[in-house]
Formats: sequence, C-alpha cells, structure tokens
Amino acid sequence: MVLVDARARVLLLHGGDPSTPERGLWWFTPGGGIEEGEEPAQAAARELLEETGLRVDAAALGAPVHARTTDFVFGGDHYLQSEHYFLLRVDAHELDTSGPDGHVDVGVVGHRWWTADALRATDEVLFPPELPDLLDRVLGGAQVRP
Amino acid sequence: MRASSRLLVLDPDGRLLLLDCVDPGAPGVRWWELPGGGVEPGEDPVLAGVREVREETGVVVPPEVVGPLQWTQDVAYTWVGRRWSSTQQGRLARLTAPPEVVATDLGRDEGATFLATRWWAPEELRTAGVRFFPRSLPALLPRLLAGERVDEPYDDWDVVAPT
Repeated sequence: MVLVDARARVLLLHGGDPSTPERGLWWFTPGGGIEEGEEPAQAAARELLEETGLRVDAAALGAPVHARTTDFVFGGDHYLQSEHYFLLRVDAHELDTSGPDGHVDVGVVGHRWWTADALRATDEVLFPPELPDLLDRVLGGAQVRP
Repeated sequence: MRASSRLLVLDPDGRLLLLDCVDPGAPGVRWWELPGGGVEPGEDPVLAGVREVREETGVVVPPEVVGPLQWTQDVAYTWVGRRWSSTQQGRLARLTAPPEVVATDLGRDEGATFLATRWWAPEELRTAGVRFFPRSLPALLPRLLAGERVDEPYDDWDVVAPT
C-alpha cells in the first residue's frame, strides 16, 4: 500500500528479517500476503488495518498503481512473489496498532513518513527499490481523495 | 526439566505484550503467547526473560522493572513436530515509558512461529476467543496483577480440554 499524506509523504515501516539480523533493517510499504479467497485490494486493505490502524474499503482503492514480481529470502524460505501496489491518500494518519485488528509484525521496529526527495537522498534500503520514481509518478497523476 | 522464563510485559497503559504464533509443523495451529523462553545454564532467570523478550519481540525491558516470581507451571507441548517440556516461570514487568523496540533475533523455526506482536488490554483476553499460552492466561492475569503467587498444576498443551 502506497499510503500518502497531505504533505506528499509516504508511510514506510522499518524492519528486517529476524532470522538474519546481519542483513540489517530496511524500509518497506505496509502490506503482505494475499490469503485464500482474497482479492489483492482486500488483502492490501486488511494488512493496512493490521499494520497501521487505518480502515479503508477495498473497493475504494481502485486499480493497482504498480505491479512487480520479486524474488527474496525471508525466514530461511525462498519466495517468488507477485506484488500489487495500491495508492491511498489521506490528510494525515497516526499509526495505531493497539486495536483488536492491530499488530506489529515480528521484526518491525518503527515507521516514518518519507518525502520523495528524502527517499532519493537516503542510503537506507527501500522496498520496492523503485519507490522514489513510483511516488513521483502516482503523485503527478493521481486524484486527491475528497 | 528445562526452565523457561516468561515476562508479562505491561506498557504504561497497562496493556500486555503477546506474540501471535503459528506452529510451522502444523500450520493450522495458532495461539497468542507470553514472550520469553529457555534459561541458559547459569543464567539469571530475570535476565533470560529480558533477553528472550528482546529476541522474540524487539521490546527492550529494563531488568529493574521485572518483578518477583509469581507464576510457575510444568508444561508439555508439540512444536515443529517434536515434543517439548519445561518448567514455566512468569514475572510481571511494568514499563514506565513507551517501549523501545529494536531488531529481533530469531532462529529459523522461531522466525516461522512468531508472526506479530500486539499489546492487549487485560479485559480483551476473556472475550478474544483465541488460544493463549499458557491456556489459563485470561484467568491468570488478574490474579498476577493483584500480586498473587500462582503455582499451577501440570498442563499438556496438546490435550484439548473437554468443552
């Protein structure tokens, strides 16, 4: 989920793979696996609620703004993953995982709102790596939600 | 029997830290667990609990906030296709400031077991409709918060209680 606030900043979570602490930490968009019977937008909305406390109707997400296939190792397992990215614009949101649907994935240590410029300037590891360009593109072309 | 030191970590709002777990050897089996784990030979059980909570959840517990031993229970259970048994110890750890969270450090099987953390309001436990480890947790927590010492009888976690 590409969650963008009124100041054109994107929310990224900070974390790593608990089974390989030597790989350090990286920054990534909220989201996660699609469960059986779910559409990609439903999975994105569910994960957003769990990881940030923000409730959104999957139908309001529209079409994905980005898709990619990626290949990675996590928890000692090899994944070949097909990803769909949805854009959601909000005025502001304070991350809150204390509700009954909330949780913090093991390995996640924090979060931050990033501008595209800050993403371009950082040496931190980003997932997806093309996020600065993606953010420029979706902010250039997307309608602001009323 | 091996000792396992678990902490009932409470944030400044009195909410309890629990781990959302799945058995990688039995993917349908889910439960919410008190963080903590095995005490190494010669290790102080308080420091073992602090170490395990940090490895499993990333939450940093200052050892000085860990209270006295309040709960014990011998348990047996199946995890990743093997039977395990241990003597559980439980101590309250009341955080006085919002928790510092650092990177976790888990082996492969643990990494596949511990999915997420959440801070639970004590009253949520009774109505949650999920399994807890220990199973008695919803009834146990108010007693421990009241300062009681509770030594529970042996529990085989694989035996589903009759309803």
